[in-house]
Amino acid sequence: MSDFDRRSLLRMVVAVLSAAGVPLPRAEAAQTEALVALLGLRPHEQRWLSVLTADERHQLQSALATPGDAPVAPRTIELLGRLVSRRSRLFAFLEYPQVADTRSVCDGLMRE
Amino acid sequence: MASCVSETDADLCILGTGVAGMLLAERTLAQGRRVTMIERGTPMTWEDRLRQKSHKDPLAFNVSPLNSPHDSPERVYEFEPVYNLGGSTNHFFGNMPRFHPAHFAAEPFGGASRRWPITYAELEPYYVQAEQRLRVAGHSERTPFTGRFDYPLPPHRLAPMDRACEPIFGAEHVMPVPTVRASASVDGRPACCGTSTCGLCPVNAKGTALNTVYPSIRDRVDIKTGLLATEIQCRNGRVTSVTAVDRDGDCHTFRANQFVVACNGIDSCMLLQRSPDVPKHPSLGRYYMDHPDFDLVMYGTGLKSRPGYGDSAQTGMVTTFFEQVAPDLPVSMLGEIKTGIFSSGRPPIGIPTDIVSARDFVINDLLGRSARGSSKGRDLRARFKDEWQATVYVRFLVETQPLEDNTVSIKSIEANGQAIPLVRLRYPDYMGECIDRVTRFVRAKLSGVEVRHVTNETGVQHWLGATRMAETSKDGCVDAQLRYHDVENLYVLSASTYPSCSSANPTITLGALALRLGDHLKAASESAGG
Repeated sequence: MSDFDRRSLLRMVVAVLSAAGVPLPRAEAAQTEALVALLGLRPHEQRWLSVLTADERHQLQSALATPGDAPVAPRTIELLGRLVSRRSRLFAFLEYPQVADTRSVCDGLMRE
Repeated sequence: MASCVSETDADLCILGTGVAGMLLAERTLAQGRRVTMIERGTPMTWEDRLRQKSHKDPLAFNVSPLNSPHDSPERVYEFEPVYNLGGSTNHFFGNMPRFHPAHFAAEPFGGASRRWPITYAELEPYYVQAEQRLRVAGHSERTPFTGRFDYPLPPHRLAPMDRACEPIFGAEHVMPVPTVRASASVDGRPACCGTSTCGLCPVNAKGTALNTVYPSIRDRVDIKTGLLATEIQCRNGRVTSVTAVDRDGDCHTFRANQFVVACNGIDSCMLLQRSPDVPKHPSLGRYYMDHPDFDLVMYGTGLKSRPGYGDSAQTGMVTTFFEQVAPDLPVSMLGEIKTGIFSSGRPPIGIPTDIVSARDFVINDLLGRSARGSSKGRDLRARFKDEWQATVYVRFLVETQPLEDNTVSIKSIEANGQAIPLVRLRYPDYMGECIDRVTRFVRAKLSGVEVRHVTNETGVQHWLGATRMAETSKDGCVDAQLRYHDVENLYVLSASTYPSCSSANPTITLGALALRLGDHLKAASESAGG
């Protein structure tokens, strides 16, 4: 196969995979970056996104990037909830002081 | 036929070892009189409960919870007492506000008489004594009404959310809630740790009958556990004995000079109903009450509420509507500022609470508000933090009216002796109006605020009214001294005796009544030559 044919074949494969929603490495990284920026996550918090599949990250990024003041779809809220409503995430997302021992029964309310 | 064991006589036989029964026992012992207590459950310690992660009693006749159909097809009325030593203070939340003085003499509103045959002034010294004895934390100057207050522990600090409520409801109407969730270490118990899992306190900071009164009476009272009282026998207007069954079905008979039924507000009623010798007054089992409640969450208040900060699951209360909502809606509502809804974790112990579901409701709402399109250059996190910090969550307990058709009856009696209740409780007609009035009140104070009605409950496990107090047997079951009408030596020490329910949690009022009854019983005994 010639180089030209190989490049054409590769472009065709990328186009087919992309149309089918299959994430591709460079596109995925860009999507993650965009989502991190939209959410306001710190670098060490990017791993939070691993609770979502690639497709779910794509859905969330599309929803958050859409301008307008329309009510947010329940699916978007569901995805956001999976990211931040867990016990270890919510107060970190709020940038409250970290709970010292997450296994302690006394990591309830924060004291002023 | 099961054998029947005859037990020793006592001066006073108390049925039930809840906080009221224990306070009464302690006062009676101090008078030099002999006390026997009958308890249907096992003597579980706090450590036992932590180990098994519940208050469930192993005995077959102590099944809890029990459900009755409610007036709405989607709801059931759940009755969930604790059936063992110490009773329901083992799992209660621990709020201890007094009834308002006006609540003892309120006029009827859509129901039967709300008048108590005793006044607040008569009960006040006993309120003080009960609060001292149970180590209530509270503010002795910042109170919903003028009176004598002398709390033994300082109040919890008001949380940021409490302070955020001041411009909404009036600074004079936001104050520390009196509570047995300890604000400082006391009697070997630590201070509240703020986990908001008060149903089974993980550090034993919450005051219960077991950790306040029981240590003082444990070695001085004859406490018979594992015995379910099934019948009160009377002759010639006096109780002669009480029968109880044990786990094997054998019966035990107890004799005493005086008898006090000190079970929860539903089982006290059912014991009287199932005893053929006990006179069946017209009000027995009627005028049942509980406190329905509703939760409001307020978004976009512009106030710095900082949900998640606080020294205890609830530190503040709202008394704006406590005496009454309005002249045309003369019912009481007490606001509970629910800081604990926002505690950081799931309950670590398997006691069901509403914390997770209410918090998730709010989180979802806030995510929706934060994720709306126009970001104005700010990421979702920044918007969410702003929304979160401006959110206020308040629950309101609502006074329900004594209605003749709200009833407690015996649905069935199991082979092991347990009486299964059937509770009929109609939701107050004015609930919707209460919710609307508070919502309008808040919106009038804060422009731009969004007020959402989160949830409401048919009752909060306050079992009231089914053996109500009144001067005559035509109108009530017990008199002003809690003596059962027409039975000389039978008394009922339970919140089932309340002719009206205020919106205040009932426990400290019951504690006051217990101490007052203790003084009366001594006088009654002396006057009878006992």
